[in-house]
Amino acid sequence: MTTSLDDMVDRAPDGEIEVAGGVFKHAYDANWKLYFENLCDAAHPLFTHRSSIEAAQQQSDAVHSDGTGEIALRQMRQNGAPYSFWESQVGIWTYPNGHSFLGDYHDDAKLVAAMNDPVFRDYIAALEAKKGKACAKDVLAVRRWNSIVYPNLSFMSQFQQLRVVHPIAVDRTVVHAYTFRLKGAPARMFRNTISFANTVNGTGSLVLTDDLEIYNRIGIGLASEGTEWLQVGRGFSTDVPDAHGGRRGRNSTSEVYIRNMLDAWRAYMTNGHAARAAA
Amino acid sequence: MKRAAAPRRLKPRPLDVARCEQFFMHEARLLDDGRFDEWLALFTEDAWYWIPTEPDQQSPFDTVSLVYDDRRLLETRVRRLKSQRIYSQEPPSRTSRIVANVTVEEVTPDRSACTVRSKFLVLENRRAAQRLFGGTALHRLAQRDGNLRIAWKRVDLLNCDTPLDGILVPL
Repeated sequence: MTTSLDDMVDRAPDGEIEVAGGVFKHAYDANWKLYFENLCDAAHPLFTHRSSIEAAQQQSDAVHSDGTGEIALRQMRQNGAPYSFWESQVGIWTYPNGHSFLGDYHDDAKLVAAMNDPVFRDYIAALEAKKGKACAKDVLAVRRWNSIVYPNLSFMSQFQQLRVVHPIAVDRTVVHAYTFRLKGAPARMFRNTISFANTVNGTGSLVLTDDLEIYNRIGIGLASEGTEWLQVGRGFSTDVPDAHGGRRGRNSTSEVYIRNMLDAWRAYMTNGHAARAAA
Repeated sequence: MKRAAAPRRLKPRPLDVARCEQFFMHEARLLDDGRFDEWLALFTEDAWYWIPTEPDQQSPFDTVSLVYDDRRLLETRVRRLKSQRIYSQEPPSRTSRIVANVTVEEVTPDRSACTVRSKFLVLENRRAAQRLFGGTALHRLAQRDGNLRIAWKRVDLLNCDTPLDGILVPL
């Protein structure tokens, strides 16, 4: 997890980040754990976000954009990556106490901050000027999607997003989503950060609204007497041990990070007396 | 043989409160009836639509927004609302809205465009829950071929900075 935390700050040419750009406060009527169970879930975008993926795929790029739509549409189309992509190019890593990260997903060449984007080129130049070419390359080579610092924090370095999850009641959760500015980066880059935040964290976003709906639906389902157990077994038989006492999935579609969080939760609830169950 | 009548030069209709009110009632009806394509057609080709997260927010580019769509994203938003797989609108929201207190704030000297302020209340019902949105809207209305079009729309929600569940139906 040190790499994830370092990555957040290392990406700033001046080596400092600052929280800026306001805050989203989104709410849903279900348990806080569901939010974390979604954050590192690589299996859902293609299905849950189908409506925005298709709407984005059908959108003409000839229509006027001030840059906002361009960034939003690229992200929505990226959510439509085939399932095989998640199985072959993305990984999930977990560590003791519930922490985890999804990695190797957004490579900078494919993304909003694409290499051919002049803003991103300026950013790389600023990073190289401050840190040297080799170091800048190492910094950009770290490709993390969401990192979870269990049990209340998640962040995403590449697009400077930070989320804090607030349990309000067993069936009510409020999430505060912040953006942060990379000090020393081109000013225009922060505008991209804001556009990305509106797309993935916005209360009226074309993407997040489907996630909120699913949390609400699970909340309704859990309050019923229909199902006694939820199964989180995906990938269980193919997970492997990893460094620092962790475990990782064979690929990103494993639910190993959910099992890992529940292990930590059980330890919290039993004052550490429950034996760790190897995720 | 009857001669074709010479085209009559139409005097542009004034940009007064009555005309803007009519326009807003029409807009509200389209949204309440789920006629989102027709709502989209009210906007100009380079329009933007904005719901800030902060009262008096100065810019959509340095601070996050509940919604900030340029024309391209607005088209995608409307297309998604018609999708069979928009789970967050299954079941769909029902809305009922009222627009009032309309004032024309500014008119260009050639009377081709104006900025109009209004107050709104939107009731939204979905599943067992009913929500009430209210606040102030600013429309930039432009004359196009004798009709009004929305060049931009800013919606300031009274509760823009409090925790909210997803906003699906445009306000």
